[in-house]
Amino acid sequence: MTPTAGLIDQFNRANDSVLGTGWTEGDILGISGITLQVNSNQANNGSGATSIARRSTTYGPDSEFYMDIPTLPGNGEWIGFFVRCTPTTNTNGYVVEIYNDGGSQDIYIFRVTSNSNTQLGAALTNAAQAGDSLMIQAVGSSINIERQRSGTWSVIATRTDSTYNSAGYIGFYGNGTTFRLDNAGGGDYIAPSGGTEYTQSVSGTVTGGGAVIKRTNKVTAGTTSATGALVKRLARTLGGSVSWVGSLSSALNLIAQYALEFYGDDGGQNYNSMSILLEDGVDPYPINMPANQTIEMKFRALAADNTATAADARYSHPLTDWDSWDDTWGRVLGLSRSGANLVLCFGVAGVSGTWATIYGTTNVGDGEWHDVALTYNRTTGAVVIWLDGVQEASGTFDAQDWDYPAGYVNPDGSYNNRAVFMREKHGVGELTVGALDEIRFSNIIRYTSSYTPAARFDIDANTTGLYHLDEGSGTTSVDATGNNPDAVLHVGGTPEGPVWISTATVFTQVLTATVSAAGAVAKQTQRAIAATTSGAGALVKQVARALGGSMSGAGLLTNVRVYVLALAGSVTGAGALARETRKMFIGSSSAAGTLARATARTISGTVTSGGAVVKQAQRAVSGTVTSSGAVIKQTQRTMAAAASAAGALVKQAARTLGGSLTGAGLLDASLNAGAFFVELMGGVTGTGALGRQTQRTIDGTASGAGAVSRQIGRGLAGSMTGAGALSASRLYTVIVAGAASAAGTLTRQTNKALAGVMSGAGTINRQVRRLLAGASSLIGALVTTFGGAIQPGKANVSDRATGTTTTRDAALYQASAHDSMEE
Amino acid sequence: MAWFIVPYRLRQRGERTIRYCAMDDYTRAIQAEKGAWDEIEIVGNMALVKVDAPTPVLNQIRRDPDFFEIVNNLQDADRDTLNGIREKMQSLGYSEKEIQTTLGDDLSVVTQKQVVEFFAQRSQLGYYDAARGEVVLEEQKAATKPVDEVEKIIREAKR
Repeated sequence: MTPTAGLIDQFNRANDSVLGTGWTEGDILGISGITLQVNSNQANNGSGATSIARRSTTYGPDSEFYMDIPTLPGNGEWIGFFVRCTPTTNTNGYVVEIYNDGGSQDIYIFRVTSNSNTQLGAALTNAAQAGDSLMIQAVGSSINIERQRSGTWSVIATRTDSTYNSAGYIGFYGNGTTFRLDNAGGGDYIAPSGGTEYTQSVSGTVTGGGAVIKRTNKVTAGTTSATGALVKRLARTLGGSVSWVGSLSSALNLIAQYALEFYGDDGGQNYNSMSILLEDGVDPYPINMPANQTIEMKFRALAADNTATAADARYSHPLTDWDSWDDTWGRVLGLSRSGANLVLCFGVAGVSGTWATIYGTTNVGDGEWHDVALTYNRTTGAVVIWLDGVQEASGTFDAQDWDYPAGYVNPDGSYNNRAVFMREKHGVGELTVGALDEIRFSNIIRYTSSYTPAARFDIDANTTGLYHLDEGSGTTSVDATGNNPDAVLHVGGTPEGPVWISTATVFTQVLTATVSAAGAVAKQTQRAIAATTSGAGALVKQVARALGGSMSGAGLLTNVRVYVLALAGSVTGAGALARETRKMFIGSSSAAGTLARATARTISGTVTSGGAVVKQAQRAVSGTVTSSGAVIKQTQRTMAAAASAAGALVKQAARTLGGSLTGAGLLDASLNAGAFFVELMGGVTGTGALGRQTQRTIDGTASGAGAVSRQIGRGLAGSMTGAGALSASRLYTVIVAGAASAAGTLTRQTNKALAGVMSGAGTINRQVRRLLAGASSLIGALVTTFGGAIQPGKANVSDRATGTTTTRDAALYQASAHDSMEE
Repeated sequence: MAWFIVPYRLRQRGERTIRYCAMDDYTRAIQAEKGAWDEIEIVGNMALVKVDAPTPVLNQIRRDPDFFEIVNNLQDADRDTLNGIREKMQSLGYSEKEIQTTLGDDLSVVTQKQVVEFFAQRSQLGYYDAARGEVVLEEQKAATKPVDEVEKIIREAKR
């Protein structure tokens, strides 16, 4: 037997006088001592009096608790572990205790009633040694005591008692200062189901530790909940949950899984390609068929490496080329650039060198594995391209046989009787840079609606050929059906290719449930995690596709380099997404450093903590940035909501900020001259909030001193109420619709109209070239020049030079000799 | 191998008072000889205990004045021994009618196992109440630990 519940606390932290989070001390079993502590990465007692700690939540009723015992109690001292203990006052439950009776480390099992111990059965004399681990486990009416010695757990005593059957607290206590304990574990007991399953489905639940020690090739529909339950890998779908520490923690690939990488240089010959012979001169091979068919494969490519914009499929970057020179059954499934995107395409050779071609729209040049299937209806000529299980493109071609006639010799062109991969077979077109894996041929139309692509194809009655490309070495790859010749690798070129690469696909399909324990999926999930991952380090490396739920633990995805699709939920732990999310991040990022680098697309939720998106969000932030430094560098597109904390957008928002900037220092170091290109829908209320410029409109109010310290290229729709707002503005080209009411608000100039009132002394120190629609009522409001007209009755000021004005307290100190007066 | 009815006793461990089956006073002696014992908590602050140990150890146990042994061979037991069993049953709250209904009038024709199972019919949870300074016995109830469980635990303990 082994513990079924995972570790709780390894005490690997700095010395502390308390055990810390998760532990509650001194309030159960009638023991009030609270001197248990962390000492040298272990737990011990800081005083001689008995002290106790329980976990802060209850478990069970079937539950267990265990700890390592590096150092036993001293003479006349004891330690105890307990389960099912409740309530905290007048506690009932069960306890195992080690008591040092003159050097004999005796083990006792107690039923506790209202804090009082009744011994169950015989003591186990001299039954503990330093280095043992001890566990108390309550299962039904059995109280099992298990001991680990020399790495092996065994039951050393069982007591039958059904007095207390409720869930309760687990924990430990100790008397004296001698003992040392470590590596506490426990929680709900998980009944073992036993058994192993290697090659087929596990339709139920895997609950026992080590129950499936090696692998499950196929579906596990249920739950794996025990430590080490699926120690190595799960090649396909796990429908249930992984909930314990160490589940899938050593996800090693037991089946050698490889793919082929091609580098796009044929060396003037046929290198960096692969081919399969279609006929033997007399008969066609099964993959060469005049029938309905499906060709499917996995591929990976980067748009940057495959730059041809194909006029038709013939000039695409082929995934597979079945052309025959000048014959009208030739066809190519390939990749073509569409703008910056790399898209799928397929075309069939027609008469007079025409190639009718259909194109996909989805960018597949993202460097990630994709599944493509091409189905052909021989009767109707209908062709559908399926990308990752979803229809990507379709078209209708001439309904004709696509097989290469056995024995036919085409005098022109090369490789006519071969299916060629990753290279245009006649040497007149493109090569493809990328990787290829899992090629299957079928004599049916396998897909008529969306489907979930299998990670590794199987053979069935309609499979005419299957190349796993898993050899890992050599220059051929075998057909798993045994019906077709080996695929031949044409190795050469610079770089030399194709080369075998390990795909190391550990968890290749959907994990639909929850990953809740640290280290549960240590390597990768290539597809979706629909639910939540909440344990620190739960997904240490990468999730290639979507995470539908939330990530709430620190350090989740800490080394992620690829998070290519959506994160639908929240990231709440610090450092949770240390690097990047290439596409959508729908939820919230609320902890510091959660998105330390880039989010390439949308953040529709909230970024609430400082430093949450340290570098860039390339597209929209539709939510709020509320904390200091949350988006330190740039948002290239829209931020729809408000940035309210100081320094929230330290550098630039290239487009619109739909909300307000209310904190000091927002956008304060906007280096790009076009730093805030479009529109700030809200107000600027914090001092220095816009450190440099907004080229367009600020629809709201600038109310903080120095809020826009340099320039606004267009309008400020609201008022400027803080002293020194626009303090260094040399260009304010359109309009200030509101009032400038504080002294020194517009230090330099407004090229056009100021529609409101200037009411502060020195409000506009230099000039307003056009209209001042309101009154300037205080001394020195326009200190230097007034370039435009002052509407009669509106300029409630006097000219100091002529002394002709009615109000001596003039706002225009030096205006009399200037053009404005002449107008 | 022998069956006993033994009382629960109290021992101090620090400030705690621990209630334990008095057979535990002989645990070290029993286990030293590779023996084992187990108990069923019955009524009246007593335990029904089976001990698997060599005769010298059993003889040592038999000298404990608080222990009552249920003899192995009731057919050969004398009248005083049989009456002693009947009186022990009565002292633990079993009525004469219960005894006669279950075991009949003559205990010499029943087996030791029948007698043991008779004693094991009812149990009564007990614990030491520190505030009152005494053992508290709760209501009697049907036993939940079968005699066979005792046998099993002893077998496993001796492995």
